[in-house]
Amino acid sequence: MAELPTSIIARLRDTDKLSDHLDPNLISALVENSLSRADRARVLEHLAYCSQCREVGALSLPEGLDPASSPSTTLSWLSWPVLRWSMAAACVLLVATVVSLHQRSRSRPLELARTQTAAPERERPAPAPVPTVEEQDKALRTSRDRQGAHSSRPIREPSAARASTRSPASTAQESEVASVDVGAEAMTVRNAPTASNVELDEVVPGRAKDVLEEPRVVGQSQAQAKMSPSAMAIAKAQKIEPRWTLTSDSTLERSLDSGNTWETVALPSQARFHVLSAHGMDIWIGGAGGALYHSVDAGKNWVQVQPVAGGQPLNEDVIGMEFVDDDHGVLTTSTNQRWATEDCGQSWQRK
Amino acid sequence: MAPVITELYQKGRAQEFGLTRECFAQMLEEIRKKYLPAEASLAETLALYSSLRVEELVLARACAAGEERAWDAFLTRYRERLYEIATYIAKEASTARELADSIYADLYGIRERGGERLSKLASYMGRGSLEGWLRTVIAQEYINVYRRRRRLVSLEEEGEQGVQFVAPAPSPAKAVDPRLTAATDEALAELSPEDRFVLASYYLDSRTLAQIARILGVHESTISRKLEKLAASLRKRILAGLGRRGMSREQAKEALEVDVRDLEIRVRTRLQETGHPPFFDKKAEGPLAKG
Repeated sequence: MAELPTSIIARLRDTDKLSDHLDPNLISALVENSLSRADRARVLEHLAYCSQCREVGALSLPEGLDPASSPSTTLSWLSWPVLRWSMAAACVLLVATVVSLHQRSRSRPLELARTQTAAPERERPAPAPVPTVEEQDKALRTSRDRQGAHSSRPIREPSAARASTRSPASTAQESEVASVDVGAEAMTVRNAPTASNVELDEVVPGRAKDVLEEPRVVGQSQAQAKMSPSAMAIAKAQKIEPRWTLTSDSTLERSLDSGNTWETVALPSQARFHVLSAHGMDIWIGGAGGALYHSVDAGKNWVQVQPVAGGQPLNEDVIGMEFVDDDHGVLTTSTNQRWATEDCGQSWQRK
Repeated sequence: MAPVITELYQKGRAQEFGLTRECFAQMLEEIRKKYLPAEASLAETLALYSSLRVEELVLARACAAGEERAWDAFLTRYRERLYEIATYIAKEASTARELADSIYADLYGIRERGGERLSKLASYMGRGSLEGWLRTVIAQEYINVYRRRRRLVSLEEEGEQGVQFVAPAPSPAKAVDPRLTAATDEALAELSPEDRFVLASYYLDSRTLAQIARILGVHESTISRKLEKLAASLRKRILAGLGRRGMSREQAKEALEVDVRDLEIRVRTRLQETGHPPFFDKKAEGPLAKG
């Protein structure tokens, strides 16, 4: 405790004398904190100068106030030092909580943005397992083997390669197949093919330009309904169409989500198909022995087409195909014949 | 005001002890005159009445009036407590019993003035609890009794020890600088009553921090911090006052910190420590006496 100079203590003592003393009622009321503010001030003013009344006040304190056993010497939860440090700790905790919430709220918009951009893909059919690198390499080697002596085709970007056609070298097969309405399709879905798939699908000269376009989806799916308004507007504008690919083992695959996921489309015939040409929801596939099929609903239903020109049916392998629109198309056979139609395959001219 | 008085009358259960409403109202008026100025407002009066311990007030006044039922109730509640408080204050059994008996007699009103019993309970005003008032009355009686007794005992003890024949201590060769006295008085006068009370209780009365805190209704650490601040503030003000009175900074510090009374006490203490005996103690004369 701070020392007070003797001179000050002496003057305190010299001026500490009063003849009149306080009423016991007021002293007891002060100790019990029962006085009004004004009365308390008056009582303290007297006590400041009257040692006898101070002594009475000290003696009249309730029992249990010995310095050694005074309850005020032990810290309670309401004592100032504990309260002070508790308040400081509470302030630190509050600041930390506010900062944490602020940082979380700042990162939430980014998460929302990522969620929104991924929503279209998530809402689409469940993704298929990603083809292993070995599978892709095997398919690539098989394709290269098949292509063999054929002139190399320029390789396009993976995103545009899906709907391209191949130029295989396989034996022609003759077959007349009635139109087949493929109803339910046995589908297996694959994840988006990797860059190695690009070489499976080579560009046929004169290939319809639609394959170079971004695949568009016609109609609004449920997934798109859950997309943000801006994303839905973009999807409508783009009119996403199916993407197609033919694997080396003549498996037709379709993607409705710009190539992220693929599904196998059941073919109407056991013939080996080598080429395809798609435009919107229309798709033509051609293969061995003049096999030619057409679907107007993205492969759900197929119609077999038998090109006949001059009374002669097409029996050679179709190794090339290009349809610029729904009506006009040209077929290329393994014997280098060109068959053209201008009415969606109803009639053909051999060139 | 009448409804308030009626409410307080019922709250105090005055009718049980035979106290009429008129007597009760008269009692309240007496309290108002004692503690409020004549020009006090109605609000202040109502605030005072609301703060009173009416039930204990009624009991005490009924006892003072000689109401037996009230006195029985008082004894049941406070007789043992009276002796416990006296024991706590006096710290010694015989003194405590003597003190309690004296108080008991004053409360009962053995003394009579003009045929009317004078009871100390009539001076209870209900500002605090009846037990707290009893504690204060006992403390006051103890101080008066102890002081009287101590004064008598000290004179006898001084006579036995020969203190009465001791020459008075010589006055200090150098008096306290009046500028220091003036600056100190000026600084002390600027203190608030509460601050001065705290200083006086601690430095003059040697009260503990806990005792001072309990009286003021604050925590002990509050008193500790207040004392630190007051000591620093007083030094600063006194130094400033001495500066205004023509002292330099060094002179002011020396005047404040080095008090001639302190020097006198230190010299006397040092002499006692080095064992210089009083002149009349023959045993301590040693070789010189034999030589």
